[in-house]
Formats: sequence, structure tokens, C-alpha cells
Amino acid sequence: MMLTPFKNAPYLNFALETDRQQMLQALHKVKSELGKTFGLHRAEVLSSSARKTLASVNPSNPSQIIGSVELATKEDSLKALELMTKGSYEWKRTSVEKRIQLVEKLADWMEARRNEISALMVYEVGKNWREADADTCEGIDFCRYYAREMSRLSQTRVTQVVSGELDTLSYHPRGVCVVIAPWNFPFAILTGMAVAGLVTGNTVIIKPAEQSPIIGAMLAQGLREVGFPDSAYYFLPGIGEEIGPVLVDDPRTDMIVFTGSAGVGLSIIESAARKPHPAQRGVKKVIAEMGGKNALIIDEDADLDEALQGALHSAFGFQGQKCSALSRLLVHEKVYDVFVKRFVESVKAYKCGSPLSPEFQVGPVIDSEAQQRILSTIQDGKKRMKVLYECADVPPEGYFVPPTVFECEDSQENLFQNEIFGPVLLIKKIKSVEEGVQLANSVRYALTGGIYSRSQSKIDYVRAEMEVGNLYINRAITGAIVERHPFGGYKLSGVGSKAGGPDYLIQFMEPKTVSENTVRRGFAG
Amino acid sequence: MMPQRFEHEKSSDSFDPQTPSSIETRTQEIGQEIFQASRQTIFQKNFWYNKLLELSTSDPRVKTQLFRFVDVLPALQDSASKRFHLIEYLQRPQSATQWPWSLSLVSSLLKVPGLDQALVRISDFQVGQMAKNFILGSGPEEALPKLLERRARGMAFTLDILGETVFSDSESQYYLRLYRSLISELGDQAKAWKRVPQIDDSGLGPIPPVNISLKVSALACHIDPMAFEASIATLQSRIEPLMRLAMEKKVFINFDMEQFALRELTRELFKRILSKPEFRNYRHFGIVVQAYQRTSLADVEDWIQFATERGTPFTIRLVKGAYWDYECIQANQNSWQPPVYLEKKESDANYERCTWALLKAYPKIELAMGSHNVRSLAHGLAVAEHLGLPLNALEIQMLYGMADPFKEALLKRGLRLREYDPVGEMLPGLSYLVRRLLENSANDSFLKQSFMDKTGIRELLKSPTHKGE
Repeated sequence: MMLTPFKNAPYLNFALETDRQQMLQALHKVKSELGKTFGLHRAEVLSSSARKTLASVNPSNPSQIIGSVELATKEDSLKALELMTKGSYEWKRTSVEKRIQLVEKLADWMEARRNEISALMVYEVGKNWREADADTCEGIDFCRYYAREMSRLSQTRVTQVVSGELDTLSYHPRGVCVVIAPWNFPFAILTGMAVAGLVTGNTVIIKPAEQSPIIGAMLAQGLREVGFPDSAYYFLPGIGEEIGPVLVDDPRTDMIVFTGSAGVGLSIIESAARKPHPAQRGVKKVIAEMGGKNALIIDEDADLDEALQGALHSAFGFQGQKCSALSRLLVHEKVYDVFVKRFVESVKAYKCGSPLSPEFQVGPVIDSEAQQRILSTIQDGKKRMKVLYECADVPPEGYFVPPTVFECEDSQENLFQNEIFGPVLLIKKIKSVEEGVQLANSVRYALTGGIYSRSQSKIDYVRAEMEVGNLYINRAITGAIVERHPFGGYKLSGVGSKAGGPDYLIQFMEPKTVSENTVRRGFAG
Repeated sequence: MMPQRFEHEKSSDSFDPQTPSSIETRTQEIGQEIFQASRQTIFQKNFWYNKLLELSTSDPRVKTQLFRFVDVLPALQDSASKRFHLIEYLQRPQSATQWPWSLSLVSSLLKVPGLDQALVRISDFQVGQMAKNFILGSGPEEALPKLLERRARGMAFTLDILGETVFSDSESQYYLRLYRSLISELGDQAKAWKRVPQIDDSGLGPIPPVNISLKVSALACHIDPMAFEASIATLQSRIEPLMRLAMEKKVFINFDMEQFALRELTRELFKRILSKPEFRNYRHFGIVVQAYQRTSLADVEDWIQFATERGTPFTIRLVKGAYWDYECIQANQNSWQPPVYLEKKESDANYERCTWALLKAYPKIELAMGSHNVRSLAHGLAVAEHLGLPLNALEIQMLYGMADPFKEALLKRGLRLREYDPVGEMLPGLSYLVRRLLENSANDSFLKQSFMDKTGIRELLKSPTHKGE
């Protein structure tokens, strides 16, 4: 099957009137269609449902219902597992060309309504236009990239040429794949994980986050409309604590693909590793991407304009609710005073409000629970650290948290060591790049990190020593792009990630080596 | 004194994108005359600056290292770290097989105690000197005598305030105050200045001797084209008082054009302000069109339309554009079509089309040609002549420290010449300095070809639409 070379979906260019209008129109259209209810499995729009439903709300305006989904029970989960197990037989045997073609069609489907998908994200999770657009583009990129990756990996490879024997290596689907997705990239990550599972020939149970089920329903709707068989995917929105363990523990589950907190990720890994149930076919494979505690070093010779911009964007983009977000800014003592003063002044000029209007740089956090958790973390931090800035002008409605900047002296500080996942930044003074790297590595995570420096030897040092999956030099530390920046970390940040890179799909498959003796009665065929 | 006129050749206003052959002939003649009248001196008097450009044209990697070094040096605070960086930037990179011996030598000498301090001081001084080639002064006080000296030589000025990116309200307030005091104080002082008719009259009458170039991005922080209306509202509320003051003090205000990302925003802002009744009748506002942008000819047509509706002329400064690398990188990283022409020739040709359109629309709108390219300028002069426009119908603008030999030739022709004079400290001036270095070292730079490469004049004056090669 001939595929054009991979190209990233172009972002909207908000410097252009046409592109701004596209977004405004999409927001308008999406608004007029809010409030629908989507069913289990195929995410069809229901006029009524006898089941319990879950309403998803706009975090800027919690009285606005974005839509509802039927809530899966334990029984529903078992039914989904049964269907996917049965479906696996056929889906595995569906030609790889057909699977690739479906994924390409899915990308086309997404492209045709990309602005509506983005607009829905603005409503459902409070992303601003640019962040929502990037999320949608990333989802499209995952489809196109994995389609091409699968095309590459589906070529059976001759391992070594030897006379009288044909030796090949090929990759085969694992079986039933459970996808447990986060709300922070409600479209891109969900799509990436589900499509990786499907294109490699696994049947997939798609469990969207409770905070973003309507975006999830959008993906399921796409799968249905472009013709993925009902027996290959199952849209299963539900409460993580209830159905998560059922899905993870079931002997029919072959692999679990998870993105979320380290706590949940570790317990998934633990349950998956438990001694197999007699009915279980093998050891479960887990892919888990589990957050970060990311640091950025500002060296004495950094271009401070650039560094300031990069740090601001990395710390407060989408309210710091990215696994890649900056939460520890390590500033060289020689530029500390100048830089920190400018930085804090700059954060002061940020305005908080609903991302429906593009003038606000800081939107709401995802839900009331997150809001309360982050607010109390801030209160806790105040007991030990100096507050350099805490925004006082935050909308009373909605789940807003004031952007907050602390000055940290003790690297053992709880907020310095543990993920906050909100618009909270700690700044710490360092004496050298070496000290910066040592502090950066002092946490249990290793996801993203970076340095602003104009010294090649310092850059080389950081390149070699900083413990991160994605290192960014003289640029912001968020915003990984498919193929260009394969994304994922190690230590507590994850196992087997690197989404959007050449190593990702292999994990969804079992490699098989076949050696065939081609010698019959002394002659080789 | 009667206003001088371009020699009237024939009255035809048919716009022909294929320049009529008579105009092409005149372009060549005028171009030759300008070259003949120019001092054929070395590019710049500064030895180290010449050395830098010379080295940087030898190998792209050398250029990268040298420019990066110029970029970082002023940011460093102490001599130890300057020495450290000098060694790093001047020594041969591991991957390079060839490296200029002079750089390796300096890098080794920096490791010799005693010599290192002297070398650091020399480098520091030389980068400072280099910046002084392009930056008029560190502040208005230092710049003012130089501006007056320019006027005495028959050259007008426009003042540009160099600035770092504005990140906070206090920073934008600083620039607002600076602009306000410049407009007010220079406006007052100018009343006592001696009039210089060659530069103080345009074809439409007297023009202010004080001319300020304004960067809208300096006047508010977190400006974002995505938040179009909000950004415009903020900027408008800050710029209008400046414009009001400028009218009161009889000062010319020109909106500079920066990155493509701010193009629509800057245009819309300018339109909204100029359409308001209180600003409607003031002629001394201007805005930039960058001919390297693919949209620029359409923008020119739109500006002519706008000027016609407004009923009072304003000025378009037509430049090629100085953010080419940046625009291409942005477009590439975001998977966008580049907003700029990829070939220098295309920009040059488009510059001529825009020149045509603007001169044809005279006097609804006035043209200031910002270019160091003699071919582009000669073309504009030939077109003006062809259309029978007064000699001062168009203005020529050139940057401080660039193309000085041409400036004299143009003044001798009796043309209205304005110098773009950046003022500011070294650090905020760096991105400006690096843009100039890039411009002067680019292989397709007209100035480099004219003065360093000694390309033949005929070759330099060749029409950008010329087919062949």
C-alpha cells in the first residue's frame, strides 16, 4: 500500500483572520450542539438512556453541561472484554493494509472536523485555542504516523541470509488492549493510544477520562463512521476506580496502555504482574506514561528574553496541566535577581479567565477536586516558602487556581519533589549548571527538562547528564511533536513510552522468528 | 525656490508589470550615475568588522560561531566568563576539519595567562565598536547632536528605539514614557531647527523634521494575534495618546513592521486609529510594507484604497523585510507555507511592482523607499520620472551605518534622504545588530556584492525579472 511521506498536520495560524474565523465559527457550532448523550460501545447519540449517565461540564462554567455519556458498570466492562476477545480473532486476521487504510480514513475524518474537535476541547477541558488546536493536530499526526510505522513494521524481515534456511522476523498483535486515557490531552493521547492498538491488530477497549468523555465519544464516533468493525473497539466511559481494576485484572486482557498519575500507573503495573490466573494466556504488557517534575536551567549566559518566554510558556501553558510542564525553574545566581524580577512581573500581567475568549492566558484547572488539591498545596507551600507571586484576580465561578510562584531554598521540599499538575512554579537559585543538573535529577521522575545556555560545553554536559526522556535546549520544554520529538520518560515517569516515535508500535506486538529449512533431499529451494 | 521635478518623459499611466523598456533604460542610467557618484570606498572603516564578515563568508560554521559569539558576549557579566566563551567559540569545533588559523590562534592565546585579559578587553571593545557601526547612540541625549549633524549634511532622520521583548506592564510603560518624552521634547526643540528644504518638504508640502519609528510590540506585553480584538484595544488605548501628542508637536510617527505574526494586527491598528475623526486629517503618519511578503502587493493596493477613502495621504515605507530567516523557520516548524518569497530575486521584483503601484497612486499616498539596493532605488526614480512626479514626491530611507557611499550620491541628486537611526543600549540592540550582520554577510546582499565582492555594476543593476542564467 502506497502512503505519502509523513507530514505533521499544520497548526492554525492565528495571525491570520481566516484561521481566527475558523475557530470562532467552530466554537459557535459546537456550542449549539452541546448537551447530547452518547451510548456505550459505539458512542451513538441517544435520545434517552435507562442507564446511569455521567455529565461532563465546562470547567470555566460548571453549570454548562457539555454532554453526557452512559456510565459503564462492572458488568458492562466484562461484556466489553468478552466482545473484544471474540473480535480479536477476526481483527487479527484483517489485512494490515485494511487496518492502515482505516486509520488513514480516520485521520481524514478528523481533519475534516478538526476545528470542531478543538472547539469541543475548549469547552470540555478549558484549553485555549492554540493548545486545543495543537492537541487536535497531534491526534491527526498520531494516526498518520502510526499508519506509516505499521506499514514499515509489517514488512517481514529476513534476519540473516544463509543457504538452506529462510529466517524471518515479523510482528503480531497481542490480542485485547485496554486503553486508559487522561483528560489533559483528551484527544491526542486517547487517539494515539487507541490507534496504536488498532493498527497493530489488537482489539481496543477505550476508557476515556471521566473529565473528558465527550471528546472520547468524538473519537469513537470517528471510528464508527470510517468503518472500524464494532468487534474491534469498545468505547467504555466509566469511573476509573470502579471499572479500572476489572479491566486490568481480567485474564482476557493482554495489554494495558495507560497515561496518568504515577500512583495509578504503579498499581496497574503491580496488578498486571501478578501471577497469571489459570485462564490467562500470558504476562500482561503495560505501557505507562506517568507524569513528571520537570526542571529548566537558566544559565548565566542565557538569552534572557528567550528564556523568559520559554519558561512562561512551559510553566503556565494549559495551567501547568501537562506531564511535560515546567515546575522547577533553576536560575543561575549571576542572573537570578534580574531574571526572577522580570519573570514575576511578567506573570503578573497574565489574566485568568475562560479560554473561550482568547485574551486570557490562564484558564481553569480541570475540576473541583483538582482545584481544591492545588489550592491546598499552595497553602501548604506557603508554610515553608516565600511566595513571589500569587494572582489575586481570579474569576469566582469555575475551577480557577491563581498562578503562583514560589521561591524555594530546600530541594527536599515536598513541592520541589512531587508533581503538582497546576499553575504553580518553584524557582530556585543555583550556583552552577552542574548543581542545576544535580537538583533536576534529585526527583524520582525523568520526563522533560531543559537548559537555556549559550555555552556549548554546558549544553553538552546537560545533554549527557540530565535524567529526562525529552531534553530541550534553548527552547520551551513542552509541545512535543509527533515523529520530531518521540515523547516519554523513565524513572517514575513511565515505562515503554516514546509515543510518536519509531519504538512505540513494536510494544503493541509480539515479535516472531520463523526459521524454515528449505533443503529437501539435499537441494535448497 | 521652485520644486524640482523629475524630468518628464512621457505621460502614460498604464501599469505594466513588465517594465516598459524606456523605464528599464532609465533605471540603468540612473543606477550607473549613482554608482559613479558613490565613493568606492571599503565597505566599513572598522577593521575587525571587515575581518568578521570576511571570515564569516568563508564557511557557514565559522559564521555561526562568530555571530553567536557577538550575540553572547555583551550578555556576560565578568571577564572570566567572557574568556571562557571566547575560547569556546573561537576554537575549532571537534567536527570541523578546517578552521581559520586566526581563530584557533586567538583561542589558544586566550589560555595564556596575562594575554587573556588583554584579549578579552579587545574583543569586548571590538564588539562594542561593531555595535556602534549600526547604533547611533545609547540614548536620546547622545543621539541628538548626531541627528543635528545629519540634518546639517542634508539628511533627515527617523529615530528607532531599540528594545528587548516586553514582558510586563512596567516594561511597556517604560517604552511609552520614552516615546512620549521623545515626541514632546524633540518636537519642541525642532521649532528652533533650521529648515532644510531638501528634506523638510515632500511633494505635498512641509513635513516634520522629527520622525519617530514606533514598534507596536513594545507598547504592551503578552500581545497575541490570537487575541486580536483585545490586543488591538490595549494597543490602541496606549498609542492614541502618543499620536495625539505627535499631532500637537508636529511629529511624524511611523509604525514599524515586525514579524509576519503581527502584520494583520499592526495594519488593523493603524487603520482604526487613522480612521478616527481626530486623526483623519493628519498627513504625517506612516506604516511599513515588506515586499518579501507574498501578500505585500495586495496590501499596497489595500493601503491605496484606504488612503483614498480617508482622503488624507499618509506614507508607506516600502522595504524588503529583515526577518526572512525567522519567517522561514517559523513556517517550517509549524508546517505553514512561508509567508515570504524564498528567492531574493522574487522579493526584488515584487518590490518594483509595489513601487509602481504606490507611485501611480501619488498623491493619494506617499512613498518612502527603504532600500540599499541601487537597482531598486533607480527603478523607483525612473518610474517617478516616467510619471512626471516632483523630485521630492518620494523619499529614500537607508539604515544608519549602511551604504554610506550611496547616501552621498543620492543627496547630490537632490533627493530626499532619511536615515533610520537606532538608539539604545548594547544588550537590547543585539538582535538588531545580528540582523544587520546577517544581512551584510548574506551572499545575495546587494551591499556585499557591491563593495566586497566587487560584482560588476551591470550585473548589480540587472532587472530582477530578467530571464536567463
